[in-house]
Amino acid sequence: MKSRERVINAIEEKNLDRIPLDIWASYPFLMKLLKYFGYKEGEVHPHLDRKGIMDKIYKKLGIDLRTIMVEPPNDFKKKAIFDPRFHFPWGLMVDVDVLKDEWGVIRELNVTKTQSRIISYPLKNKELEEYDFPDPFAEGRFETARRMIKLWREYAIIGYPGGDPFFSQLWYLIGFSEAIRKMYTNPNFIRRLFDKMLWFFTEVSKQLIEIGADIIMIADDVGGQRGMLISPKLWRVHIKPYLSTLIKELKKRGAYIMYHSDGFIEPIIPDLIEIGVDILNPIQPECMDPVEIKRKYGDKLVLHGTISIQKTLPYGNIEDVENEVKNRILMCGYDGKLIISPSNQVLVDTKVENLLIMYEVAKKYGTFPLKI
Amino acid sequence: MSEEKLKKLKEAIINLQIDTALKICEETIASGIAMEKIFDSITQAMNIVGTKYEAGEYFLAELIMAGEIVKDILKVIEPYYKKSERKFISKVVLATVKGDLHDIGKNIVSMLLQSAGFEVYDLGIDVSAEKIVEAVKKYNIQIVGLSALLTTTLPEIKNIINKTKNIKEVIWYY
Repeated sequence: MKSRERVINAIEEKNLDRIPLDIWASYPFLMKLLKYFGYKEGEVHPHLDRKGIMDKIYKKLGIDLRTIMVEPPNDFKKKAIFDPRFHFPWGLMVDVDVLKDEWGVIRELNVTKTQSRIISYPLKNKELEEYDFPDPFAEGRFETARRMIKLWREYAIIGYPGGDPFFSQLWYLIGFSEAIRKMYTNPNFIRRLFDKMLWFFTEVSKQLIEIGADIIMIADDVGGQRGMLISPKLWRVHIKPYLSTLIKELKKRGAYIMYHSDGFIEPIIPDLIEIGVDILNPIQPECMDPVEIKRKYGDKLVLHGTISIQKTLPYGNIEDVENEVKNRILMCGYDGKLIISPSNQVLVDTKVENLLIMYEVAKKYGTFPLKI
Repeated sequence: MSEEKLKKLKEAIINLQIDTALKICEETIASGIAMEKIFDSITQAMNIVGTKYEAGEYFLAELIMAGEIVKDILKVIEPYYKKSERKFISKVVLATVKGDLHDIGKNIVSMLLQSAGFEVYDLGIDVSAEKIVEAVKKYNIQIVGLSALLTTTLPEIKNIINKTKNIKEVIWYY
């Protein structure tokens, strides 16, 4: 069975040969993975992957999904650099290790050069009218996507719209405290900004679907380790209506919807199902029990992720990883509605061997009919 | 009368009504009430906000919103009192350790400690051990609060403890 069919069958509840697999890893970990397989650092660009080396490794691991992304337009890229150490790698160089992205958000790398953080919010203390919104139709947004998708016909394709509507993108633009303050004091500003965001992300996602994305991933972190960042009530007032419209537009065009949020978001899972989410990622086991989530919502959602990146992968031994993967297959994947993946970005302290064993065990025991 | 106003101020903070809170605050100052009493009301209100958070009634957003209100109230109050007149419980240094950029939790701890009467020196995020040691010595700090949310940055806390354990008495909290 080809990877694409495997993933789509998992979503459509049709027969499948084995549980599909995916990967989420930080740039420093990917560098470590490349070194493990004998490539020199710098030889490969894991995001652009012109030589298809990452692809070969992913194939070896059995990963069934590939991701295409919206990128900034040509006139921006002409002036910009591509630095994969940044979460959004295209940017205008403001200073050493400081990049300004297409939205005007300025990020700086931390001292260990492993994470980037926002140091300037383009819309903070500004009126919406003063802000130049990115154009979803600007030329050059899909150059890499079009090139990569030709090589990836056999895989299920996730399309990432190049930003994180709606709550995350809001605070990238105006700052975290300001985002919350505005939700309480100036809902009109929020609505006008979200109208624009909805337009941008709908239009770029539609183009991703036209190019060939099977799944659109909406990544909007609203969960913390123990509870939600914003109350379900605030989320339902401000976020849900926009998310619902975005999803409706994209499903009309035949895409499946994957929704990502870090942390604990159980209170809004029924809402996500209601507005059409097909795949829920990443179900971090330290925040939400995947077995419990499966029991309550597993007939309506494909769970994507579930393998601990806070304990098992970095601190566990091979046996711990094996046990966790077997548990997920048995408890969450018995009906095939599971995609096994690290439950967020694998960081550089995880041993490559632990990740490799995760895929080995998943392939061995995740093959139908299950033999655990 | 003034007791009534303080009660209303407290309620406005708890119910996250920023405009009402600021208006009452100005009226309270105009009525000539002791600043300590306003600080007490803020502390009491924030304690209730904290309890609501623990009970699951309030979320992080509500904690931040309450913090924003307190920040604005302090701006209103500032011209009317000298910092030296305020009695602090203790001095605290807060920082997110080197390599880590998470600051939502740290900022909330900072805000809650300030409203509970601690003098807080917030060094920000991605802070080196050297800078933390320097601040502990410079400000004569009694308490150090460290934040690290990544498995890759947790070991830095141990490193900082090792570097500061010889500096007289420091109470640790992280």
